[in-house]
Amino acid sequence: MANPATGAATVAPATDRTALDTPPPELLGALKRYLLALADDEMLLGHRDAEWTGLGPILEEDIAFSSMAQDELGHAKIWYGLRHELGEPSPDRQAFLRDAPDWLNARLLELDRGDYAASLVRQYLFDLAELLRLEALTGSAWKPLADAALKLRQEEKYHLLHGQAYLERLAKGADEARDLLQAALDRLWPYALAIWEPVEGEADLVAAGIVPASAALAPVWRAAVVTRFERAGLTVPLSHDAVTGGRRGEHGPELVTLLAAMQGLYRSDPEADW
Amino acid sequence: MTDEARLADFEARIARGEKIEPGDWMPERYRSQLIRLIQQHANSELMGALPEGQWIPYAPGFKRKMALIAKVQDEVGHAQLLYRAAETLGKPRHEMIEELINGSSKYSNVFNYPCDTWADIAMVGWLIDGAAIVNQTIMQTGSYGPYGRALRRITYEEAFHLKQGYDLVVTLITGTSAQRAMCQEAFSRWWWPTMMFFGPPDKQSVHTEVLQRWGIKPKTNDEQRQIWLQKFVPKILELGLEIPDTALRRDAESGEWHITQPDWNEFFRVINGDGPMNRERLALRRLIYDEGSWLRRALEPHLALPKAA
Amino acid sequence: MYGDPADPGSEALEARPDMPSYTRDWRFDPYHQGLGFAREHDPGARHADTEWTVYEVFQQDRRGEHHHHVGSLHAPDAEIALVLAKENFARRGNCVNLWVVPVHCIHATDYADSDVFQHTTDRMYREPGGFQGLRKDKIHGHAQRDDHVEGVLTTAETELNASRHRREGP
Repeated sequence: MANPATGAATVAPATDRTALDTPPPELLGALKRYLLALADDEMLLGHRDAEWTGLGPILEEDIAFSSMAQDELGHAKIWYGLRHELGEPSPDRQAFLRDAPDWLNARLLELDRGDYAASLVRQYLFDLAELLRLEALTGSAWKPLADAALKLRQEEKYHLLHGQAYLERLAKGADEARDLLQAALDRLWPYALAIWEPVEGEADLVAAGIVPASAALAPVWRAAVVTRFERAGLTVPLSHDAVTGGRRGEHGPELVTLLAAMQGLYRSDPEADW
Repeated sequence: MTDEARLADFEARIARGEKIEPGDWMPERYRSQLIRLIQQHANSELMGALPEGQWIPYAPGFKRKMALIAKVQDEVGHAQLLYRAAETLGKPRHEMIEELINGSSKYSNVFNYPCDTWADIAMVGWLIDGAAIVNQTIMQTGSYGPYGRALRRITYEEAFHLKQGYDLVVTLITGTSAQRAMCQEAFSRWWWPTMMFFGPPDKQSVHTEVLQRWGIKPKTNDEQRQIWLQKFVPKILELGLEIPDTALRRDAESGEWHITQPDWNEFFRVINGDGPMNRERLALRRLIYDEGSWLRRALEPHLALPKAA
Repeated sequence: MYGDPADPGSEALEARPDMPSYTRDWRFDPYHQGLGFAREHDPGARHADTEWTVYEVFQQDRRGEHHHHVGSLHAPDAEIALVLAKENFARRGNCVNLWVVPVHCIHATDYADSDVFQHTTDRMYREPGGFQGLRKDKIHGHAQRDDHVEGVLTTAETELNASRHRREGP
């Protein structure tokens, strides 16, 4: 399977340094923030996707989508795990004990799941971005990050195959389906653009060759999105206005509701073994 | 060949322990009983995904969350396998799901009880999945090939469900006092539905004999219930859970457990649609199928709405 | 199955007075299942399930092995069938390759004719066991068991096991 996301050249972080086993102390804060943004995105997407488990439109598809939810949660756990190795609490405590203002996800991922068209479109927009980012991160100067990216990239291949197969058929299948997909794309678009909002300190990480510049990945992603959606007969909005703020901890009411449910039981006794 | 000769052949084949396969001649009653049985089993898996699925967003911690998603996913998978097995008998899946949704085809009563606490998830995973394993292991030896094949795979996956259920119970019962109380409270509620799981006592069952001879139902309700009691009561006592049936006792000679009969009136009430959760569960199932219908229509040209000009 | 609910008996048994009743006035109401909406609207099904093609699914666990049948599923076309088959049948265990085949493309013998597979005449001549009792008499003129074939087979098997061991570890 060829790289389904881009076909274009991937953006590798500009680096001629040798691989780092431990990150430089002055970059630790920025690195942890970057990893948190990665983890929070995946955690919330996994959570939202799993809201379909048992409620999917077809038995077979219900099963496939539940696997993708598990994949995203698994990715989140790996990113939280890397932060844990940098001195943060366990993945459980990072995900289940943190208040909304401390979450650095893009707001795209916290939005209510909506109908199945919205879930498919969100998943696909995010997967295209994630694959690009992971490919770039495989060149990270910080080895644990490069290793993790290499591992996670594999699962993205399936996600894109799944998304692509449905998108193309549904958008061409019937007006009803195309309208639902187009509506979802129009609504989600400003949020999707903000996937590329950088976390504070990203520029220093880019300079150290640890992460790629979000601003460099964004146009590559946008081109891939336009190609794929327009091939399916959908219109990608021209707007460049992104709903940013997520990477600074500014979120909507959806995240508060989500966290109340997700963390409620765990927080009822955080010291207990669940 | 006359039908009597065919029937004799058919019964001899089953008596030899050979399986019946889809293309084989079979008595109409065998076909209809099997469809009813497998369809209800498939319905149960599909409806069973709802009470547990509702807890996925609330599951405390990565491990529980991911395991619960995987478990509910498996249940949907079991429904998929079982509907396919039933389809080999000539009834299309959309008809079966239609019947589930309009209430004319039944599913297990246990899913018409509420799962209002996290400990309910532990109890469903342990007591109910444990009962399902007993039932499915027995049904695997039945005479219909496709059903047996589906059940072999299902039983393998249920072993994981039982383990995660048991792990949950042990975690809660050895946890904080609040966790222990929640565990006991849920257990007390689930005891009676679990006793009803295998169905009414044999003396009330009317057509067990021919179902046994045809290998549709290799063991009776009471026999299955007894197997479950043998496996589970000692473990329940070991964990220190209090069984709400104060008259439960083990016959020293036969080794059989004697239970207080649950309220079979309630059993029939729930079966006939008047349980604590019947209406909500079915309404949710209907909502799901309505919400997903655009997607199915879009990929099914002859059902698509007319294209706008 | 599950108490065979549609097979109810006739007489009802005595209820125990200490059975709990399920009339609690609160109920866990998960936000994502739309229960409130479902209760109010109860839409009624318009189209309960797909009438897509059934595809039979064959899985290959490892390179070098045969594909084997693992089940079947509903899908609108072969590509989606493959996408769905992966998670429906290969979400656990090993798999390197999947086939999906529309069920109407499978041609099968009739079980009613399965007697055609029965071997009524002596076919021992085509089995290894049909050549037991070879002796070296013919070669050397004295009674001695000839285990040439067994020796070849044993060596081959030893090699096979050794290579498996190397591949998969102890």
